[in-house]
Amino acid sequence: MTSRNLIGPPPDHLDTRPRHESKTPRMDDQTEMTTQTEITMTELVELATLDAFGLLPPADAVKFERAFMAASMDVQSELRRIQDELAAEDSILPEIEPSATLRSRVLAAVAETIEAESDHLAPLATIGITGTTNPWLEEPGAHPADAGRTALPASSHMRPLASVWTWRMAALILLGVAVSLAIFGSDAYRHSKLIANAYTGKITLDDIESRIGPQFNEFVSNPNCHHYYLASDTGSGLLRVAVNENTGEGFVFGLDLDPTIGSGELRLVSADGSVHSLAIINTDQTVVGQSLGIVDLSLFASGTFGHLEFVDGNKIVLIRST
Amino acid sequence: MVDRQERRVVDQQSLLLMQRVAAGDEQAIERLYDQFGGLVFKVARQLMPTQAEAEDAVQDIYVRLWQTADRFDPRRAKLVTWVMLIARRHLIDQLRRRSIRPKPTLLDENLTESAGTGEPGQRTQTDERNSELRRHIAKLPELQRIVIERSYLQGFTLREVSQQLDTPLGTIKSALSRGLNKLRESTDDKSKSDWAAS
Repeated sequence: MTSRNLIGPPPDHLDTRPRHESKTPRMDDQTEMTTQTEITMTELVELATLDAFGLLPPADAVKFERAFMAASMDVQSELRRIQDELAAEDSILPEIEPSATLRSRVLAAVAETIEAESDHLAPLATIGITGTTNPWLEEPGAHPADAGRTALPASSHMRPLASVWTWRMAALILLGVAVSLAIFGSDAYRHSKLIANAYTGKITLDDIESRIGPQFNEFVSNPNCHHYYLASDTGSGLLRVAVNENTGEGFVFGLDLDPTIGSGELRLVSADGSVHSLAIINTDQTVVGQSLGIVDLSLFASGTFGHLEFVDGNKIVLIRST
Repeated sequence: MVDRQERRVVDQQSLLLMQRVAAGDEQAIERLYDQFGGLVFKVARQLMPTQAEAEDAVQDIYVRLWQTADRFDPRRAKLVTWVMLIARRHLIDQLRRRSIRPKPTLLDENLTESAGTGEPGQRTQTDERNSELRRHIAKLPELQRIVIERSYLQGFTLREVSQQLDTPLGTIKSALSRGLNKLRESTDDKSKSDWAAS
C-alpha cells in the first residue's frame, strides 16, 4: 500500500499549475514532482501516512486538512482508506496484553474527570443545603449524645429564616435560568431553522461556505479544533469560536448577530481580567465567518483563560461564552 | 453497494457510540474500552518505556477520547482511525515532553538499539517488546530506518531530525512516510508467509 495505488497524476482540483508548466522527474519511484505550489497526490499520501501515525507537524496538519477538504470524494475516500489501514495495523505492535486491572482504572479515571467537570455546576446543586447533612444535629438534643448538651449557637437558630431567603434566591435564580433557557431556545430555534433550510435546499452548507469562505468546513470538522460557544441572553445571536490547538489558527462563525450595531469586537478576557482583542466582526449579514489568524494559545490555556465576549462600540457586552 | 450500505451502518453506530461517550454514558465508555483498549495499550507499550507508564498513558488517552468525542466525524475517519490518532498523538507528545532523550551524537553509535531511559533493565525490556518491529526496521534503507527510530520511537520532531541529519525537512518526511509504508508491507508479507507455512 503505497502511493502507487493512487494511479496517475494529481486530480485536477489539486493541480492548479498552468498546463504548459514543465515537470521534473521525482527522485523516487512514485509519481512525478512538479514545480507547482499546490499539493501533489504523492505529498497527500505522505501527509496522510504521517497523520495516521500522529507524526504530522502542525503546519502540515493544516495543509493536509485543507487539501483533504478540497479533494474530490474519490480522493478523500482513498486517503481515508490509507489512514484506516494504517491505524488498524497491529502487526508492528508488541504482543502484550494489558493488566487485568487496567480496564477498571481507565473507567475510574474517565468517571473522575467527568465528575470533576460537572463540579463546575455544583453551586446550583447545593442551593438549600444547610451547613450540615447530619440529621441528628438539626434538632439539638435529638441525638442521645446530645442529652445535657447546651443549645447550639445563635446562627443555628437563624437557619430556618436563612433557608427561606435561600429558597427565595434559588427561585429568582431559577427564574433567571428559565428566561435564559427560553431565549437560548429561541436562538436554537432560529439556528435549527437555518439547518432545516439547509436540508430543504433553501440554504445549503455550500451557501454558508460561499458566504464565509471554505475555512468554515475546515474548522467545523477539524478534530484539532477546540470550540467555544458564545450565547446571548438578549437574543442577539450566537458565536462559535474554533481554535486549532496544534497551529493556533482561529476562526469565528456568527449567526443572527444584531445588524443594528454594524460591527462589534470579539475579545478574550483572561482570568486576571486583562482584555485581548481577537477580531472586529461586521454584523450586517445573517451568517458571518472570518479567520482570527494565529492566536496566542497561551491565552486559551486553562488557568489563564477567563471567557470570550462580543462587545458593541460602547464596549457593552452583547454575547459571552459560558 | 452492499459494502457502502454496511459502511454507512457502521459509521452511524460509531457516531452514536461517540455521542454517548461525549455525554458521559458509562456503558458507552466501557464499550469504547472493550473495543479499542487492547490496541491502545499495545501502541502505548510500544512507545512508553515501562508497563506502568503505558497504563497511565492509556488512562490519559481515554480521558482525551471522552473530551474530544463530540468532534468525531465518521465522514472523515473510521472510529479506529480516530482512536489511534488521538492515542498516537498523545503518546508522541508524551515522548517529546520527556526530559531525558538521547543525544543525537549517541544515536548513530547504535541505531537499532532502544534509546529508552538508559537503564539496562528497561533497555532489555524495551528491546524485547519491540524486537519484531526492530527486526523489520533493520531491513529498511538507512535513512528511513534512522528517521523512524528518531521520530516515532524516540519522539524527536521531524525538524529536529532534519537538523540532526543535516537533511532537508521534505526529504525526512518522504523517507518517514515511505519507511512506515514499507514497514507495514513487510509485516503484511510476514503474516502471509506465516499463514502459508501453517
